[in-house]
Amino acid sequence: MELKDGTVLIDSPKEGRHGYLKNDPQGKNIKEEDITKGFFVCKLCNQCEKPSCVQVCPVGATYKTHDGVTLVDRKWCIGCGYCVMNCPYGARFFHPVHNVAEKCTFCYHRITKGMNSVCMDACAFGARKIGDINDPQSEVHKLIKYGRTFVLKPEYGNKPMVFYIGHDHIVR
Amino acid sequence: MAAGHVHGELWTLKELFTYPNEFIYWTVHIAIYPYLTGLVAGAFVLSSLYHVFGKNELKPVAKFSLIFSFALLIMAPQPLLLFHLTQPQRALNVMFTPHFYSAIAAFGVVFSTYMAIVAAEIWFAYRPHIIEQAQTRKGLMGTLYKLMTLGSYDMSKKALHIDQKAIKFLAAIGIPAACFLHGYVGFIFGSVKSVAFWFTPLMPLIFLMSAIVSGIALCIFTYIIAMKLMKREVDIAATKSMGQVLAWFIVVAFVLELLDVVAHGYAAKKDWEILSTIIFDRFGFNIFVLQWGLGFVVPLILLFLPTLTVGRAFISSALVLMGVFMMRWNVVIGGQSMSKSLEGYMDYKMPIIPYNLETFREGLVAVIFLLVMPFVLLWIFNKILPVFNNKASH
Repeated sequence: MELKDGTVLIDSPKEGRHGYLKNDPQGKNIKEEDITKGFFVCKLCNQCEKPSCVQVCPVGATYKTHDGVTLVDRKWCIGCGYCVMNCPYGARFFHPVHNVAEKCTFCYHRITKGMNSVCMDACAFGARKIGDINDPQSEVHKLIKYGRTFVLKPEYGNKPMVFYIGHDHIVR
Repeated sequence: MAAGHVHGELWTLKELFTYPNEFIYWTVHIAIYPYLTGLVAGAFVLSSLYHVFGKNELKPVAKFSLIFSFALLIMAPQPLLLFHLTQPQRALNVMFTPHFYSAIAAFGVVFSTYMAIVAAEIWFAYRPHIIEQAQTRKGLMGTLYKLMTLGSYDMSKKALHIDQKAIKFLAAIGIPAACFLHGYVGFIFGSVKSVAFWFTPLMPLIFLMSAIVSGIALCIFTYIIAMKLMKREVDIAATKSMGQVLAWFIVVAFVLELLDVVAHGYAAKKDWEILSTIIFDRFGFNIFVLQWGLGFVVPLILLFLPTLTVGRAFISSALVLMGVFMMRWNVVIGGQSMSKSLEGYMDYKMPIIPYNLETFREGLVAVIFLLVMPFVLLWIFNKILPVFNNKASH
């Protein structure tokens, strides 16, 4: 959130697992009248066109599929953590059970069968869209082509494939 | 892995805004890995100064530094292979399917090439000793020496001459190999674009120079201790020569490290605001006092003062060893201490007392093992190939 004096407070309490129940970013009690704007920005793997995680995997265990999604081979990953280091978005982590590098798969097992990703289906307000960006008839294509969308951290040159509508400059 | 914990959670403290998945994933082992690799490169360069460049005053330590380099080389990849990888049993995948766009993929090739060069050079340097032992010793050691001769018993003048030529050749190609070995380790960090503290083309050079510095310092340090333990006299000419080489490499390493910080500060890109708090505040004592003050400046003064004594050389080398270790630590841990959000920090608490597999693997116990083992290996190798006995072979 941004306050009237220009202060920006960003927080992700308990990784957002329990939702955002209180108005106390970073443990500070903020009066409502001091806030200029406050919002939630979901972060996921950006499924980059030029994924820096794929670039640095020493064994080729992480790879980009022909349809543009980056995946990890759990049976081949050695767990060096180089991909975790090189992701500018902090999107990668270690799987607590399989003990290898892990990431959002865009629900590859679903989207390849013509279904939606779970996050898209779960969003009660239809704020998330997923589709084939190269298909001129798809909704995402039209939104990106004719609307105003932004990507996170374009300066890294990863060419992220997750676009935000109405992105704010205070988003980190 | 501890139940209910994500890898990295046990030793990471977070402040302000960090991404949910961010933890200190590259821990103390990633600092020890370049530290040991650097010692290899430095020790090898020192032995090559005698073998290739004919610095004769270094003869008393030439074989010692070569064998020590080999002992360190065996241990250098172990922080990764034994302790860091979450799937250590798959370590050889790097050899099976190397993905050469990754700096780590070169690991297998570079290490095995270098291992072959050092092992071959040792074999040529010790061939007369091995043959002599194989012909006189009985029992298990006799068999070991017989195996080590590889069937070569030729002690003719011509054969010994070829040995010398081979040593010189291997020591010569070993220098670029050592540089490549450590340059590539620097590139592992220097190529990570999402960690501002690491991302600089200077990184391979910085790592290489500090590697040579630390390797020479370790040779001085261990040589003096070994001589004292064996109640033999420290060769002052060799010590002075090593000290001189050490001092000049410190100057180069120091200039490069300063240049790196100056370049970051002058460009002042958007990450500088938080990066500067890491360099000057959170890691300020580590960098300015331990790494540069005690690690570079004090040893430089001690080494450049006239008439270098054994005591001064010893203190300088010990300080340099500490300083270079701090450099590895500051780079590895410091780099990860700033969140990629540029709005938060992470603090690394190394597990001291292990209470599960995770805290054992990534904790102090493993660190002590890794840092002690090169000396144990040196002690074992010395039983087979005496490192300070110059009469046994050339």
